[in-house]
Amino acid sequence: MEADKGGSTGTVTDSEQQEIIRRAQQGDTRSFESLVRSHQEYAYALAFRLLTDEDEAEDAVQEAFIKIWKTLGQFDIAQKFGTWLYTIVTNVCLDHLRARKRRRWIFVREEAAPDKTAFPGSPDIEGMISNKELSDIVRSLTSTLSETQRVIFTLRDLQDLSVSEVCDITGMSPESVKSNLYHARIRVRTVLNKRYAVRGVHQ
Amino acid sequence: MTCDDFQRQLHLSRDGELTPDELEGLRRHIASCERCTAEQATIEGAERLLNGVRLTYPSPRDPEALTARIMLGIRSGTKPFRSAQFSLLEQALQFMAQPVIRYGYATVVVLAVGLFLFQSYSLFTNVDSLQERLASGDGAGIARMAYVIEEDDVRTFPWTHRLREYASVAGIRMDQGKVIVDRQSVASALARTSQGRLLIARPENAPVMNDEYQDQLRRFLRKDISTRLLFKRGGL
Repeated sequence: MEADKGGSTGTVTDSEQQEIIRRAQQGDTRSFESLVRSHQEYAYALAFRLLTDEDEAEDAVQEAFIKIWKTLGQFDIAQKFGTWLYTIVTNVCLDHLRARKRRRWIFVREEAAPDKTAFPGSPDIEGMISNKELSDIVRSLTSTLSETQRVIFTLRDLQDLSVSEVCDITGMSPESVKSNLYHARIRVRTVLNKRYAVRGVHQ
Repeated sequence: MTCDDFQRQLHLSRDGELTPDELEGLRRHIASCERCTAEQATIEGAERLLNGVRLTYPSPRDPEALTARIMLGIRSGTKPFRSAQFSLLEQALQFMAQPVIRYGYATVVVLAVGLFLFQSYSLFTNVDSLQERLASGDGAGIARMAYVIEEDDVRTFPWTHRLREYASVAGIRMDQGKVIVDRQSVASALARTSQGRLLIARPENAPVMNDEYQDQLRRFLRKDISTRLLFKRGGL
């Protein structure tokens, strides 16, 4: 499963991870710390792409792991831990996005999307781009999306999860996921055309 | 199927989104349709850019610090720490910005404005009534009318203390929380005030309000309309 592929370190087998989770369920904080270490970057990437803010992403990851710790006893060890983690991170991020809307009643915290930012991998960019540049790009792409479209687009097109995994995480049907995905891609493409002057690869 | 149907499929043609049969039908259509071929090229151009974003993996600034922060929150059993960007002030403002609280503000403001308007209307009505009665010179009908100023009504105003002071210094009678002002009291208190903010009342037994007292009363009412005057027939 993709959600577990990125979450594990690659050196920990499924059975080893199950054993770590089992020990953590019994209150072993060292085992839980091991889980945190092996999954926090994956959780952070999702939170960062949903929230487009480094500080808020770290807050969300911390909140998500604390929720996981508190409810770990209810987790069915036969399930995929990565999917469960993603579900919780997504829900925490949605809470942050809603809180941000309320905050904007007083403070307008969100910076305006840049008019134009070079894309990673494009010929005018050499080497890695910073988190700030990446957040500008993701924010500009997702700024016109609804909350649901933003979550589904991020999970499917940025985190590269399969449609069935997106269904598991969001609790939505494949039809709903695809419908939201379609509308999100249309809007993202409009942004790409407008701000980044996308050209067809055959043109 | 129309080109629009195929173009919808084009937008949903990443791995596993279409069935093999749908993919084959789409491939055959594109091979014979210039419009959909152009659309596919544009979608692939967008996908190429998105792939660059997908492959750029954001990482925490300090993974060790993030782990330590998470574990500290878990071991201490306390609520998650907030980043420095969420100051106490901002958290307080965020709380106050909640819809329920905002409705609370609105309700308080509406009630306050309503109460102010009601009181103003009530006071102006009293003033009008008073002036009408004064103007009509109600003769013998008001012969034994006296003006009673309720202390409660002026409790919140700064000159309440001065009123109490006048009451004691000028010998103004007080009766069950009411200050009763008569001609002698007014004359006495007038002599002691330097600001002219004084309660003016018609002499208790005078048959009509003469011009002098009437003018003074009007000036007083205009100066401080928050004072409520009650009229009582038949003496006190």
